[in-house]
Amino acid sequence: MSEMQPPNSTPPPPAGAPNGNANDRILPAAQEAYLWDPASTPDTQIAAIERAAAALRSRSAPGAVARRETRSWRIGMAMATAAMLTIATGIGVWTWHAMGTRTIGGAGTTWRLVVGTGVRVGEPVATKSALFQTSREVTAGLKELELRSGKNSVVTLSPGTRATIYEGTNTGPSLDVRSGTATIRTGESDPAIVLFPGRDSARIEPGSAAEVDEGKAAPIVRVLAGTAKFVRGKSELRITRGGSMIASAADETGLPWFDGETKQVASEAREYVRTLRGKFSPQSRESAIARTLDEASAGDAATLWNVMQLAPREDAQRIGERIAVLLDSGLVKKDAMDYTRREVREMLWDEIVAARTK
Amino acid sequence: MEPQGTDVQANKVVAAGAREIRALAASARAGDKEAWSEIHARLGPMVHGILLVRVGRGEAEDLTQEVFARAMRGIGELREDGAMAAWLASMARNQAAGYRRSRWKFGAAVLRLAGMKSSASNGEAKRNGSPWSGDEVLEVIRSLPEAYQEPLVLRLVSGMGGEQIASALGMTHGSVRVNLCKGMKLLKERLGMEVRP
Repeated sequence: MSEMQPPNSTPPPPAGAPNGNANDRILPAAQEAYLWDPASTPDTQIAAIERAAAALRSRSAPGAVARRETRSWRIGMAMATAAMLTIATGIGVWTWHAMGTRTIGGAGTTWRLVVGTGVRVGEPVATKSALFQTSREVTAGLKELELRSGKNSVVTLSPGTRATIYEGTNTGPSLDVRSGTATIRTGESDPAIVLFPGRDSARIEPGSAAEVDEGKAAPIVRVLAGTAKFVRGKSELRITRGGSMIASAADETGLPWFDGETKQVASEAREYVRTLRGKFSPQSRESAIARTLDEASAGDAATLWNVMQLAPREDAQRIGERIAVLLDSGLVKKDAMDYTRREVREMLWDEIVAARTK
Repeated sequence: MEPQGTDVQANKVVAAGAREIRALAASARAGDKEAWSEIHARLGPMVHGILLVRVGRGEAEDLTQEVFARAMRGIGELREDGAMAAWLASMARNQAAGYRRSRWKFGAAVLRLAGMKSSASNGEAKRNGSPWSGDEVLEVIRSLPEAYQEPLVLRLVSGMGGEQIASALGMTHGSVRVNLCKGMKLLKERLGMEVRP
């Protein structure tokens, strides 16, 4: 048993810790030592639990909290186990969800994928079956990758592109482009592409229609028709219609998507960005807010929510109340909520999301 | 009692990590995007672990990204660069609380994802040579007193050591040690393992 294997050096309790007296111990000394310091001699019982818990580790996190070199072999084992589980899980999910999965190209050429299925590109099986696991990184070794979800959506990654596809919680699959370029063509609401502030850019080609949604994490772009191109490293958004640019935002602050004016850019010539910029000049705030609230419809709730974030306290409350009325969900009562409180605003945002997903 | 031997080295590692996080936070505040990537690499597992205590596995992955996106937006609210880990931990708890309040509203989308993920989870169970699946261990951890849950997940899932956990959770070493040990004792009991005093 592990208790019979004392660590090389049982660490004394740190400042503030119990004094380590055997009578005070809750667990055997070796277990306490290993529990406190993962780099010490492993305890078999705790290590068994760790092996099971390894399956819970984050798959999207690029690294782990700093650890000692002496743990590297166990990290390697855990990673190898996770990779094997990924393959096994992918095959299982694929079997369960195999309808519509087709290969349209040979190894290293073109892949057609069904979201939520398959295994990681780069694994041997991926070169044969053209499947891709969401929440996994697209690595080298493929010329082009297509992601299909919903009816018509397709995402194409250029050669050498590195990207991660997430299933998301309420918007369907999303794509985090880490380097290179990705192109999204005609589709409906899925997949969406997440833009990370100050890092990514989106250019919707002439004749296209797209929608930018703040999302709960980062701006999300959905292409309704036409083509949008996303490039990491440039913070710029251009939405055109019929060859004319109707909205744009440049990276002036480093956080271009959160300046309150470009959070919600509706497609089809609504021109929210320009309208809101014009309305919210400091000189005409009162009339602008009154007019905006009066003219707003339920479809503007997300825009109003963004305005509320920027508005002074006295305005935020009435904007929140207006949103609640527009949503008419019965879940947020007029005059009963304090919309200046962050948690209340978040609840209101959840209401907006719920309304949009209905 | 001053730490000695291997603990001295451990403390150096932790202290060096804390200094680096402080420097990274300062760079991130100044708009350095690469610093954010490094912060994500170092503290992402911690954020994920805190979320894992409170929400489902799939949701924890997504919410981890959301926490960092929010952190990027709200870096100005961080008063002390050295408190980056504790700040992110707090955001993770708030994010989980907000999600739990609202998750029922996501309706069909959640059900669809839940179906996909439960299928994936079932396939994963007990294939790693352990008598339990990860989900089973997590379920038992969640049944323990709240004070034990975060330290245990950060230790067993995120792979953090006691000092790192104490730093991240803003707790004393003694409290973390006691919570880890008592929590592990209970966890072993509920997993049916032999427990020796």
